[in-house]
Amino acid sequence: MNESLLLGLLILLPGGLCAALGFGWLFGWKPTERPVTRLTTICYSLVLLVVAAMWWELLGNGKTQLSAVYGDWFHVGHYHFPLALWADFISLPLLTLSALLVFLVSVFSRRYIHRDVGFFRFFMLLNLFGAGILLFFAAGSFDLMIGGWEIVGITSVLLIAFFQHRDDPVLSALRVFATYRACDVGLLTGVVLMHIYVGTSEFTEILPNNIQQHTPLLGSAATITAFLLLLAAMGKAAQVPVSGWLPRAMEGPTPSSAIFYGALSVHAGAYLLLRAQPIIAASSFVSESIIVIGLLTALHATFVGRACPDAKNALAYASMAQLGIIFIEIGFGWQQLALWHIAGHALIRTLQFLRAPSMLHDHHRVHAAAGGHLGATGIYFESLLPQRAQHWLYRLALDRGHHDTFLDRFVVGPVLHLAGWMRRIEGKWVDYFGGNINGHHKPLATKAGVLTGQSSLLQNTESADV
Amino acid sequence: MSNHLLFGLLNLGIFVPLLAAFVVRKMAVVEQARRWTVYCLAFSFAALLCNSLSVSNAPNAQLSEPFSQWFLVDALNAIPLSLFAALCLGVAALVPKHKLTSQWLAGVLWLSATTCAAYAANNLLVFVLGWAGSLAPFLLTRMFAPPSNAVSETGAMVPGFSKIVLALSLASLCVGVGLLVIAVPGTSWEQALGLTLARAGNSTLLFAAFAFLMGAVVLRKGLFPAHSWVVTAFERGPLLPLTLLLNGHLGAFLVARIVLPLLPDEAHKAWPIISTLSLLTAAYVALVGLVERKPRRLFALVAISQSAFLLAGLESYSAIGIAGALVLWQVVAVSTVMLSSVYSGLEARLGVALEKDGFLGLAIGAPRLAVFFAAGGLALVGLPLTLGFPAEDLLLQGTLATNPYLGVVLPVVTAMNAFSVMRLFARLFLGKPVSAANHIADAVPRERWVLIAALLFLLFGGLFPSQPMRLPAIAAEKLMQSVSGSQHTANHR
Repeated sequence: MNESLLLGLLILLPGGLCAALGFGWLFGWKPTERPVTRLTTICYSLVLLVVAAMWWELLGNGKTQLSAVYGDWFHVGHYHFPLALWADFISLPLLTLSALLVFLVSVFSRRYIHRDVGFFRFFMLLNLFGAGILLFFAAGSFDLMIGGWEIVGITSVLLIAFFQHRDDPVLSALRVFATYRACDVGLLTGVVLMHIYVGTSEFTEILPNNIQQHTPLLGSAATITAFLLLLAAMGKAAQVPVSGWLPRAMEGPTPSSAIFYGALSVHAGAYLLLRAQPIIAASSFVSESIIVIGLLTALHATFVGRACPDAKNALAYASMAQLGIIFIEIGFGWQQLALWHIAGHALIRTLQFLRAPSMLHDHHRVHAAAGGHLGATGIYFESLLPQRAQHWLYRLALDRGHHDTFLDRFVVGPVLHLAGWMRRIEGKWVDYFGGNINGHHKPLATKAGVLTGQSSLLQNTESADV
Repeated sequence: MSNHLLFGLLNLGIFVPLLAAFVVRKMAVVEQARRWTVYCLAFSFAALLCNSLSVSNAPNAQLSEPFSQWFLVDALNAIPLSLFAALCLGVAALVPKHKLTSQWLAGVLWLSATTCAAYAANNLLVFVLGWAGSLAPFLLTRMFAPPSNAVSETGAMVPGFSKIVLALSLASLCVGVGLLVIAVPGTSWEQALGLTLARAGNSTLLFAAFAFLMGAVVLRKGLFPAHSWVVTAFERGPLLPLTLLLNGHLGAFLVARIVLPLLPDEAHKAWPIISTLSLLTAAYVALVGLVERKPRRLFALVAISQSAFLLAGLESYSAIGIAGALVLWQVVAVSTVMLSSVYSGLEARLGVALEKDGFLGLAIGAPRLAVFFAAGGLALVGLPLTLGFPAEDLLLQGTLATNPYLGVVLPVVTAMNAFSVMRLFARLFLGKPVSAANHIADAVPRERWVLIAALLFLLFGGLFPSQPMRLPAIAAEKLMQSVSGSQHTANHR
């Protein structure tokens, strides 16, 4: 079978569906639930068939990878951006997992989001996410990975703000977006540095293959590049110290929490590191950093997760702990173990997230059936500690290890303080020149009282004044 | 190499809107004036697009018309010409009715004609006239003042401070061009005013010319510390015309068309200062944007910051960086016009209520406007699938390769701008809705069609970037050839 066709269909099917739904709506189509869900289900069924065909192609013909190069997406002078897709024994399991989980979540959401005002928006974003994550896992170069990575990030943020009529989800979404963008700087810069150091970011050139035994990125070039990729991976995988966004991301609807923060999006960082493993292996400093960060994250998440009062946050911290362990495995170079860990973790965590809304209801039912005598489960070794230490640790866990407080006080705070100071200076300078020279003394706000009354007249004046 | 364009389409593309401006200004019925404005700008756009297509068939040529040598089209200006006409057409078609007057529409026609004349200028004099003409509606008249019965006074007039800065940019340009002309004694006027003869000779005079020209660029583009005129003007002035003025990017065009080819040695000596200044502006303005609350000011800050990258790219002294800057030009122009169009539409619906602190939740009533705003904003900061992504990628490659320390600033600043755009989007469209949010009208058909066209441009450009990138890449190569050729000569001297 044609490798180019299979790999191309993998991206084109969800991408095309997303474009068709989106532009249909922009042109005035009023979508109902049934066609949207049916189209999504059909689309991901087809994607699953494509993935099955890819497995057949890979295993049946004894190949180690499927690859397709569609030429340069664009080029200027000696710089070119290759449009290359790739599936091997690292990416194909994750492609399968992505197609399967998006399919399952779309089926689950058909009833879960039923009659919600944001039904169409949810499915649009789910399809966009599907296209993004498949592009990310199927990318044949680090350049193209950025495309999928960013799409996953923006859909994640928009789904966190899904319940947009409340302020809290929106604030959480902004926080997550800020973290993502800050860490994405690492990916962008790292990939550009690959071009500067070795002139390409294609896997066939960067990673070891039949011709070259080692990655051409060595020494300080490998250290800098791998460190920047690690920064990006830390953001997406909620590793210490930028882990504070994950519990905030739970503001979104449960199906999106399942697929983003239990299954696929959080593992994108781990996959990036798996892909860049040969570069990481060339730098002992970065390998050790990954182990340390993973260890700290696992400890932090386990510790904080024990004090979480609600199911979704407890699951978020459980995910974070597993991600920390996956990072440790990657740091040690245990690629296969990390891959199996990702797949198993994604499946079990999706199940847990999707089960979370009905779990409490079931617990109450069982509790009542047992006559209110359902015993406590689990062993709490914290009780062996002195009482004061228990209290202190509990407070520490409740404040999530003071991570957000630390970041707010020592990173975000000073930046905003500096920006505020600059804005005040700017305001004085602008007022001095702008205000006096122009004679525009009356600020607009003073007219607001008069004008807001009039503005209400404009609210329904589509044909008259808009 | 010089070829001829057929049918006089270049002259018609420039002079039809210019003449129409005088006619439309006198029209009493505003909707009739809008119709005629749209027809004229559509014709201008079609004519200039034909010229662009002619250039794409002969990308290394400079095409001019047989009966007039005032204007030329080549790889550098082909896309800006048709793009600017398209932007003016879009703005004239979707501007809210309550802001509209015949004078306003005449102003857009005038702005389109004069800016395109500056782009197409075949000599320094025409360029100066185009530059001055594009400022005239803001400096000399109240063309963009809203009608006397307008609800909101937001956008009433361009502040005096901004007018002074713009006038100073014109004065600086005139002095710089004057010095350029007298720097080549013993040549004919035609040669002295021409754009082909690289200046050599009196180095003090040439450096003074360079300094004045760059002064004009700094003032017009709003580089630090002159960025304040843009912020003030956007806060108090007419948003859509000012967005068009800023998106003319005549400052960047001056660098690409005149400064780099005619004064390559001076530009080469000063490029670290200019690219540092550009990135400093981008960073400073992005940082201030993080705490800015007023939507119009925040919008201005993001627009300045992203526009400053253009100059950084042009001054990167690499074909990749220059091509990235020229592609980013298209992205910034289309995205910021999309953003300001949506914002103006919201102002028309809500008046000064938009200035209110906190979330407004307008997506409930206007979901399509929310989508257009989000898409335009994210394209501006380089979202994949849009043309912004390849533009940022090239720009980053170019600046990081030539100056790693400055290049690192670019992704950081883009991240800050992305956050500001997202914050603005969230503030306007998300959160607990204000009482009016449920009742406002979503995008009306004329808004929808124009904004869909802009979105399609950004998306198709992002999916198939080779086409919008082809001419900028050729222009960048030519620019690098002229600069490096001159540098080679200078080294020999």
